[in-house]
Amino acid sequence: MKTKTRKWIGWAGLAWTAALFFASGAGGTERPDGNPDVLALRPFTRWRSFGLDAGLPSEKVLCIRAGGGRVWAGTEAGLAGYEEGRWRTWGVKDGLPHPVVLSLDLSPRTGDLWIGTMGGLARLSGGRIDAFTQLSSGLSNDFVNGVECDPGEDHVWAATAMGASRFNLRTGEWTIFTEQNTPMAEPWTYSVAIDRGRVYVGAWGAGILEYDQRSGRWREYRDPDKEMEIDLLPDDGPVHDVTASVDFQEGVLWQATYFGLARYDGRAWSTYFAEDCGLAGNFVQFVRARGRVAWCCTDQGLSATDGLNWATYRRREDGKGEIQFSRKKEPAGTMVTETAMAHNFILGVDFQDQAIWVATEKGVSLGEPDPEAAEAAAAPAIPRSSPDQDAPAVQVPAAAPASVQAPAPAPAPPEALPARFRYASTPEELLPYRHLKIYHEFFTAAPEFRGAGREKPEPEVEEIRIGFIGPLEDQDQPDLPPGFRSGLRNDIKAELFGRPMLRAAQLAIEEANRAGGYKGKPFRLVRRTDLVQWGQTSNELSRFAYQDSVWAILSGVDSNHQHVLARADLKAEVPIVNAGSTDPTLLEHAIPWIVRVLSDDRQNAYVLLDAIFRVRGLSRVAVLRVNDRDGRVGVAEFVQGARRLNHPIVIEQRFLNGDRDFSSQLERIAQASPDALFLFGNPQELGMIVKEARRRGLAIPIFANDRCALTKFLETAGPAAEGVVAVSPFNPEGEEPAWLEFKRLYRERFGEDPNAFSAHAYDGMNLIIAAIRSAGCNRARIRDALFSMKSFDGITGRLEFDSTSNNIRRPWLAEVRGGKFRYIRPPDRGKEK
Amino acid sequence: MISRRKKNWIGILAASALALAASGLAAHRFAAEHVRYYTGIEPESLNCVSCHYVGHGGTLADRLARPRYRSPLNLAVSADGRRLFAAASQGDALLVVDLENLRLLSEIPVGSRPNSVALSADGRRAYVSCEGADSVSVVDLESGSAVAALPAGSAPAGLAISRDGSTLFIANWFGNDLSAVDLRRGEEARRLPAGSNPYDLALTPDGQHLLVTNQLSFTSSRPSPPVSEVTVMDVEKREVAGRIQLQNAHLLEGVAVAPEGDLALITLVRPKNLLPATQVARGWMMTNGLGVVDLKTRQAVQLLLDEPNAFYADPCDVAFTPDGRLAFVSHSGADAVTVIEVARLRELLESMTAEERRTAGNHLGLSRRFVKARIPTGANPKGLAVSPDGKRVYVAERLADRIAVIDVERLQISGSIDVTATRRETVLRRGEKLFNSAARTFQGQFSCRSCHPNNHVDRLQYDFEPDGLGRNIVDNRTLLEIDRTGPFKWNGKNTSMYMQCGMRFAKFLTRVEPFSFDDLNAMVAFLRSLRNPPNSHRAKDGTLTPAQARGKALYERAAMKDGTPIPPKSRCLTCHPPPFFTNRQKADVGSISPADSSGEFDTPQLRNIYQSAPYLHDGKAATLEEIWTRFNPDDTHGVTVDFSKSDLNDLIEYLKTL
Repeated sequence: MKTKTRKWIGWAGLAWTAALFFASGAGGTERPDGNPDVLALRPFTRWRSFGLDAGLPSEKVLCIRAGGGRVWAGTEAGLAGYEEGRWRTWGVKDGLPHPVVLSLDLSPRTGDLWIGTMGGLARLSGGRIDAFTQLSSGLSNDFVNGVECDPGEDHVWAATAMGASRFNLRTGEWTIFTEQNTPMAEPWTYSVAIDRGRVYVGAWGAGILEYDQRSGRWREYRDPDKEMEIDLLPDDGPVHDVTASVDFQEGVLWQATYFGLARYDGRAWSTYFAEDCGLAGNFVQFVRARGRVAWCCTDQGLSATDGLNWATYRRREDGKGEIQFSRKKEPAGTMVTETAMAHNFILGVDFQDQAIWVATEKGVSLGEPDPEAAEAAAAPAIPRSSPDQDAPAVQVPAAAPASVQAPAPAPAPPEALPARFRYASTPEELLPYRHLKIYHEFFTAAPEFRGAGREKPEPEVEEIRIGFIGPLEDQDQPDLPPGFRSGLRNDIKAELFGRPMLRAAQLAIEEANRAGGYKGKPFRLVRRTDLVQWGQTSNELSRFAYQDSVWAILSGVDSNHQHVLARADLKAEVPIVNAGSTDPTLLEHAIPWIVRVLSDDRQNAYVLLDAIFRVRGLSRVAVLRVNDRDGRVGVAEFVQGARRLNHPIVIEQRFLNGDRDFSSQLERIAQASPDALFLFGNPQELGMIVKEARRRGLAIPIFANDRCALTKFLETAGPAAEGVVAVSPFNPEGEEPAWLEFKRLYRERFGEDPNAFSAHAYDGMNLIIAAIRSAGCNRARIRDALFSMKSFDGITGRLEFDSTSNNIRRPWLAEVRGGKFRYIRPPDRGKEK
Repeated sequence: MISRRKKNWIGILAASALALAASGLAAHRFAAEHVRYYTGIEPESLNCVSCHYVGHGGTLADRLARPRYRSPLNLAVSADGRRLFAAASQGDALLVVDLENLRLLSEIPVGSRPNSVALSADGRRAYVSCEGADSVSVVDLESGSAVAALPAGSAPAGLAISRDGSTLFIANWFGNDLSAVDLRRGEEARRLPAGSNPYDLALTPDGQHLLVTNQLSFTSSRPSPPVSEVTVMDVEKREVAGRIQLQNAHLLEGVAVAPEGDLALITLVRPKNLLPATQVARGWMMTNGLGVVDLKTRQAVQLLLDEPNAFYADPCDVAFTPDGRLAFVSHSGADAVTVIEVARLRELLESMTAEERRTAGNHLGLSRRFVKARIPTGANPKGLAVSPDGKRVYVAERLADRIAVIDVERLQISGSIDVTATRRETVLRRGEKLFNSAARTFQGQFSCRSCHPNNHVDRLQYDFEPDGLGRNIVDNRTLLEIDRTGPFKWNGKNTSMYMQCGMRFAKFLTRVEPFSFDDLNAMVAFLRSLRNPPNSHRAKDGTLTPAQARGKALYERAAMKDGTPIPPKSRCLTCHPPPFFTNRQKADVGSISPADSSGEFDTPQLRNIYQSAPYLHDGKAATLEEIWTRFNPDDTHGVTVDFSKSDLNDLIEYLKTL
């Protein structure tokens, strides 16, 4: 062999050996960047918890922050500060704008504590609390999910239910970032992280937004598959577009979602699900990075990871603690500790020197490493046992270098695909990515609430309060801020949806009270309006939860408000039954507190797609929709379904609520030569559109969403309505006795026929009443009762709930014949085999 | 015989004299009518200049008619006791005084409107806060010139240097915050939230803490007595370490810490602003005193410096002698310095029960137990400084343009340093003296300045009208730019400043003899000269930020977002047109309260509106936002129903630039 060749072989052998060395984990416990991996961290083995006895104002602790020699805990009943072994509390009487503290941050520039509450933002400085609310300041909304102080600028960022707000402490200027001036899909923001001039905003439905403060430019990180119910590929980007929390440190971005965790190191994404790594649970409400290690707060324990190795802390049923170590999916040992965190439902975490502070649903827990382990010097101090042993008898030094995890290659589609879970009873041909193997499917099981509360005894109350929130022209509501009232006048939503729903809900309450109420105590309806500006719904929710003390809420129509309500409810924990929104994404977030009785636009789309393409054999459909969230998400399933059926939409046009002139849209549609038109909007505009379309000679079949199936549409469209087919959530021409009795009662009482919204509100309220009667006055148990119902016989027929507690009963079709709607029951393709 | 020619001349002269007399008579009648018309009062003298000449120092005429005063405001003495440094508040200079010969040595130009002086430990540099420049001038005392300007917030006032000389702390008077400037880097390291209008600073003897007085009380959204703050800062951490709240007190200005380090004295005023102002004749409506802060417990006791029939208005600075035996308090409204015997003050405090401490602030009889002397001074005594040997106290007699020297042993004025640049007293100067003097109010309880500190507002609401308790309560209004924004009062009843400051003023408020016509002239002339300070929200070149530009478009819009025209009466510009953003008419914007007699109020001007919180006629809107979020339910105060929150923020950003 030639010398040159021998040299090459020698070098190659050396390189291969080195590669094996590092790949095998024999390179030590230091990562290449100098950070120790998770397995090399000293575990927290000694736990102490603080509850009401220790001086906390509430056991439900929503956030925690340590710094400046103190620990701050945000609870459901105020702020608590721990110093020198004692808790001191601050509440509304001290200037807090609301007792429920959702988020905390300490300013590294001033030492002040910033407090995000359900009623505004506050600053605790030198013992004084200054409040900033959406009425008294430029804060975008009072529901402050996250707060973060910019270490580089005198700026404070607040993630609110209606956009991110930036407060310039020097000039007093507030800047609001919403869907109007950023790539956010919607203005619902939940978390902010700032590092080196970049701001990361965790947004609901928009993944993560990155803001470069120098250039003023935004960049978005979105779930690449763009589907709410699946994660198509591992390591391809954010786990989901619904971001619960975000943190950024040392160049690594962490995304917490209700479906799992994601990590981005600037080059590649990694995604983590409890099923394939050491993550305690997929419902991750909060993440905090410490160096390159992320601490994930889930509803099943606390997990720490560097992206490869995991340490998960849990409280066992016997009160002892358990730490499970793993490398990727492989268990690396379990340690049992005599003490444990107060609860496994973790909402926040922070660090103080060598100690960890954890916010749980049952108090604050302080974890410290074993002091003896500290004396064990530099050697990794993780006592490890084999996976099947509980006792920490076998001491195994941690190993494994944490090499940078390479993104896993996208799996090639297998030849024979396994059967897909049919979320929402989706017809086979409409399943997203049906020719690919899906990496992770969501909503395969009902969302669970693993927090505390079921153990609370039923309180002594004189009446059982149930909330109703919907579009009401309720200007006399005394505690509605006056500045918002002017937006309530003459809104068609109140006439068509809000008032009928409220009336039906009231009828259901009265009927239940005639039947003895609950254990002889009457039900009482507490009403609030969502027909207001500036994301007021979240504020109304906090009033329902903490002022009105309702046991459950019946909610209304507008998609924006329902989403704000749902996310806010994750903290307030009040069962919600929605009876008016058809937004398909409303329940696609795993928040275990909201169910729906009205068929959504996903189910409506399935029926319409079948009627248009299969039954009528049409192929070129134009879409004309209202340009708001209802319209955007309302037609999304229809548009995607049409594409999956090989009939992509030929043109999509938009209009605004309140528009009177639709000629330009209809002209463009006519130029596209469609053979059908699908309309989505409110009945008044739809009536005018149909009238104008027919006047222009557009003689193609017209289909429309469920709001078209109201008499307002017939009144507006007149004879032009003939032949229009709308989807309807039920058959109002049915002859079932319960429905006829309700119709009679409603007509007698209010002088008009009930519509689909009032009918479903009646069913929704009866669902709540049934749940209360079965579970008693306990919000968590009422929630359990609601989620345990797989069906419910209402006046609109039998409601059938899927895994997300969404009603997937097959909708009806309503065709205008002779100036009236005639109802047709379409075939249920989703259930066909 | 008188020649024909002479006769002709006599005739011409006589005719001319008659014509002149007639013209003079006509001119007098015209002038009298003119004054009557514009002032609403009967003129006693007709001095055109007093009404028609209000210069601002820029022209030759200005310089002739309005000589330059230096007006020393705050003082600092060098460590060797040989030099005194004074901030010449109207001279834009640092005055250097030779204390051995009691004469002005030099005048070093600094930034606009200097307020306070702090000396570096080595005595080589002086730092001068310049309210009008939003900076601190660094003066090299060896070269006698300003060598740099350090950044500060809005209207820097009080200054203090940390013991290690590393940090300069600045009270940003209008910015409501504190700057911590790293003197080694010359950069502002921290900006910390203070109370409302932080004014003066004092280090504790151990150098660990800094006490900050906040001149004004917190803004409240409902008429309420004032609550003010003393901010305590941790010097090393550069963080706010605590806040001490003083109930029913405001105008917290001077602060000094006893050499023992156990207590601090704070000057304050205790207004009974919600009592009908007519009650002033019963005394005890506006009282003046001290906050005595126990620095261990951080509890404050308020004590009055007044006596039952002798009030010492507007206490504004305080200083201890080095041995801690005496404390001196200047009263800018009473032209006096009060001398306090500290040991007796301590005795008094120790003898008090908790209840007595709580109510001591209302006790007019306590001052005799610790006040050792009252020393009359020249006009408007402000800043105090004590010589290092404790033998002399220097008093800046601001409006006398002098610095008085008090002999501590004899407690008498032993000399004075004249720093004036002119001997002439202009009508403006006379007016300014009247404005700042309490001599023309019942028992000398208060001066005009007591309610209008810095010629602006004290952010309190008052019950002025003689219509019963709690009726027609109104928010204080600014005097800045007042000459162009009449009529006056919220009900717009006073059409001229002569009427505003004349008989009714004496009858209902000062409860003494009204001003003489000359004094009234001078007062009005002074008021007419008042101008807004520079607007810190407006770029010097007038360019607007994107948010401000969007706000301007909303301010000037004539249609809603959906194209619906906004009726002219509901447009911002209709009632608030430039240049002062008032049409000087009354309007009903739906702000009436149950206690109001009428819903129509004078339209206020909007210049520097960000400095005038609270808002609306009775101050019910604590912030600009609340005007629309809480008090415009029916779009009666402009059309905002279609506003997003961002729109409202933009509008407010623009309003702050006006």
